[in-house]
Amino acid sequence: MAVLVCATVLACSACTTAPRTTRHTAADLLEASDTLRDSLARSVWLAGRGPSSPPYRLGLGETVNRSADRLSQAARRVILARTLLGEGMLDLFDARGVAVVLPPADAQELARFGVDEASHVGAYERPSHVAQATFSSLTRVASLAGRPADARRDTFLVELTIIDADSRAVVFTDRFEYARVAAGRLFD
Amino acid sequence: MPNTAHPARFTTLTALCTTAMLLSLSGCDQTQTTNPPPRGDTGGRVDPYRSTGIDAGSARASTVDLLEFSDRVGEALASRIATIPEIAGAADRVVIEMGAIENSTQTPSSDFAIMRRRVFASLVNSDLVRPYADILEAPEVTDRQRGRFAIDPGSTDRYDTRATYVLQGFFGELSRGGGIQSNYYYEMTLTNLQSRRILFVEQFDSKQIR
Repeated sequence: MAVLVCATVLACSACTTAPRTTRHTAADLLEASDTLRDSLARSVWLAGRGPSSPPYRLGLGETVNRSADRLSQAARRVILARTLLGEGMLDLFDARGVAVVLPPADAQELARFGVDEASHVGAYERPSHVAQATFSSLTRVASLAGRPADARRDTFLVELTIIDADSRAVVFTDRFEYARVAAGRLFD
Repeated sequence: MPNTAHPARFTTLTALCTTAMLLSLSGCDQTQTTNPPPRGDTGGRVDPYRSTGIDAGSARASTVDLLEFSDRVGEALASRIATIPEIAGAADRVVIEMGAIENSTQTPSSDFAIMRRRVFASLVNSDLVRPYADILEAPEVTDRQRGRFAIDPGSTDRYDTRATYVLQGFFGELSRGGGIQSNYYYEMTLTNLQSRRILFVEQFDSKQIR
């Protein structure tokens, strides 16, 4: 009988372990960048443009984290890079007359390879548009069954926006949204 | 006699352990098949539009209500913009900017800023809005991005205030019973920057019992 009880407990613990954190996972961020990349590829902003269209220079802008989760600079950069430079995007941009340019701070890295950064990052590299990624979240906590607050829900929004650097017009924006729930306290 | 009972007990024990292990593995199996290894774990994810007990019990406004309200405002403004004579009859496309948020609730203003942003995004992506209006990013955000590329901040285009409209929000809360019940009132308006005339308003009421 004792063995049966142990077996049942073991089985149940494997089946019902509630998530203990609402933090971003790699899967969330990868799915967000894939979704936003597909959306950008099908966007009105790129539609109807060809190699002979007036050239656009799309700058890799700032990524801002306003969410309740910690996100390293690298993780934020990954989202922007995977979205704009991921699978097939450079070919697509080429076909639509869009060049992706680095900000001067990143371009300084090129000096390590003997490139004269002053001439490389000249006026011709000035972006006509800038892409920015923003992470934000809505956090809710509550107590289950009258105990101290022990349940949490975070609704995350990962947003990609492309703005005209002169007119401030938003030419593209889309977001990836998901929610995570977790239960239990750290000392449970 | 005890020697003959042992193998049977051992067999039962083995069968039970095997069953337990199979149950354990089957409990985990669904997670593994839906989450291929390189992409990590998506356990704990729920549909953002699904209400949970956490939302109902939280001292803040329900996230689902906020999402639904912002969807409603975006759809309503997109469908009505062509019927606003001042905008539809303008010689050129007007511009829409993000305005202020007045928050009189216990929910952080940043939550309402996200709602305003969602409305903003739905206007950008609307085929109904595009012929009538350009949606603009805030000057300070554009300046920060321009600064990264060493472009003179503060030199972005400026627009005639008579053709500029701002999307503003007011969010109020009536709390009763020591916070057990809250009645929320959400409002978003589109106002002309020069005349201060309100051309569009969308309201939403919700009650939350904790």
